[in-house]
Amino acid sequence: MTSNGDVIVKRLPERVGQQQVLEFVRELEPVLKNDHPCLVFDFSEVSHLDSAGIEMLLQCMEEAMKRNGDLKLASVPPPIASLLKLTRVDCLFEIFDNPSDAVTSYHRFPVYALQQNGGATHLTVGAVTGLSGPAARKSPED
Amino acid sequence: MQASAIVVIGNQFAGTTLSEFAHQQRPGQQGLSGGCVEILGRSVLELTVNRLREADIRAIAVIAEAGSVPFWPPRDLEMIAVERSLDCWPRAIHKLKEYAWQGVEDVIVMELGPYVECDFAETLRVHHSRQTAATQLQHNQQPLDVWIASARALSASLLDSSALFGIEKILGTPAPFVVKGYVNRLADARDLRQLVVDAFLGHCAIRPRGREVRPGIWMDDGARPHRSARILAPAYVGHAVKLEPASVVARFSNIERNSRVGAGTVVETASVLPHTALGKGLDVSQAVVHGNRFADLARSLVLTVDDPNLIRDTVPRPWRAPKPQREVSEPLDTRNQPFELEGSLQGEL
Repeated sequence: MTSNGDVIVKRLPERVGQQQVLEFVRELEPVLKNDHPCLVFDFSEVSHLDSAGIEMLLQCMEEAMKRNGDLKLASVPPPIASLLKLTRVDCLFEIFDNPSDAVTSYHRFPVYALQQNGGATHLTVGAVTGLSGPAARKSPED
Repeated sequence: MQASAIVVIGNQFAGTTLSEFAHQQRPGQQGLSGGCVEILGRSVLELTVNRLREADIRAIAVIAEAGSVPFWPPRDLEMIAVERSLDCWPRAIHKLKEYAWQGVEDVIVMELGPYVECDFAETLRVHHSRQTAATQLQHNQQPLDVWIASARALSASLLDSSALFGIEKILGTPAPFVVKGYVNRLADARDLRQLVVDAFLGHCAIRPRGREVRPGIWMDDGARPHRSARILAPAYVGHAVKLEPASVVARFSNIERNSRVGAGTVVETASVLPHTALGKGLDVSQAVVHGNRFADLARSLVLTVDDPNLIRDTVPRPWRAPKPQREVSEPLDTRNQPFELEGSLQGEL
């Protein structure tokens, strides 16, 4: 677990299953009890994820959001991304190509969420659905 | 004109994504070849045999690796099982010799699986008119693994040749015959999806088994959709398929026999092959699922999902004796201890 300012980057083990989840949650518990916990889960080493692991992700996100924090995912390998899509979990998280992008996203004021366009204020798609990247910063009119 | 056919079911189901499908081990069966893949309730083998019958070819020998045919083949086929897939072609050549000795004029030799819609009667006529020893079917300037061999012309070379030679060596340089009908090489999962879509759109001759309960929605015998399940046309629900509450089978999807779609799961532009159970609340789109194998066409990858809560095989497992319990050195006295439920994060999604 590494700390980048107030953002905690946690590298997940190779297997995220029933056996690993309990230990992982125990390790993460103090962080989740802080105010505004800003978490990034680094999936770069993950090769196996099951329903217990997905449940753990949802639980961590719920705990973080209860305390006005967030959980973002980074370096998700294609097979795991496929599994997240299969279980419809992908749309609940912001997913980044690498952990540093995910950390930067916490430090950036989301000015792109509010965009002046012809005097009207528009909420971007990314702010609503949790999408990230340049595509998400476009207003619906773009 | 007396003609026979030899159909070899090989492991041709190779390609970017389904190569792993072809070699997966499932209880009771050894793999899935293109000839055995089932589309809208019918296997490619069944469809091919029907086409051969239309050309009045009665004697049909099917050569396959033992245990590789996951369905009950038609009774009037001569099924020849071999130990290894490598033995298929030597056995086919042996069968070709048998037909030659029996005085059969022409033998259609083919390997499944590509799905080929061809008028075999016309092909035989063209082959006869050319008076060549062998003719090979072609599509888009690419040869198909379908030959027509004049058994008498070949008999001399066959008697001299060893069965270890490939069919190409025995047949020499065949004359090409261009297939005008529909051809799908079934090389990978995309081809399989394309075949399903083409069948729904009427671009090929495959018609779904069962009856059309609503325009574009076919349901086979024993299908059990829950009253809250939704099916959007065109779609196919196979024999003994169970659709659980609030599940959705959307456009251009096929759920093949003995499969199950969990509650709230959405299947869209996807194929669920026989004996596959999908868990609850899943989003299966642009995919082919077979047992615990998941081919994601959007990402061009195949996953093996070990978690039975997500997807699993429904082929009955063979019975195994339970493992003996571990011996405990000192028995624990649990009489006065309160019963506690073990905390678990695993649950149904």
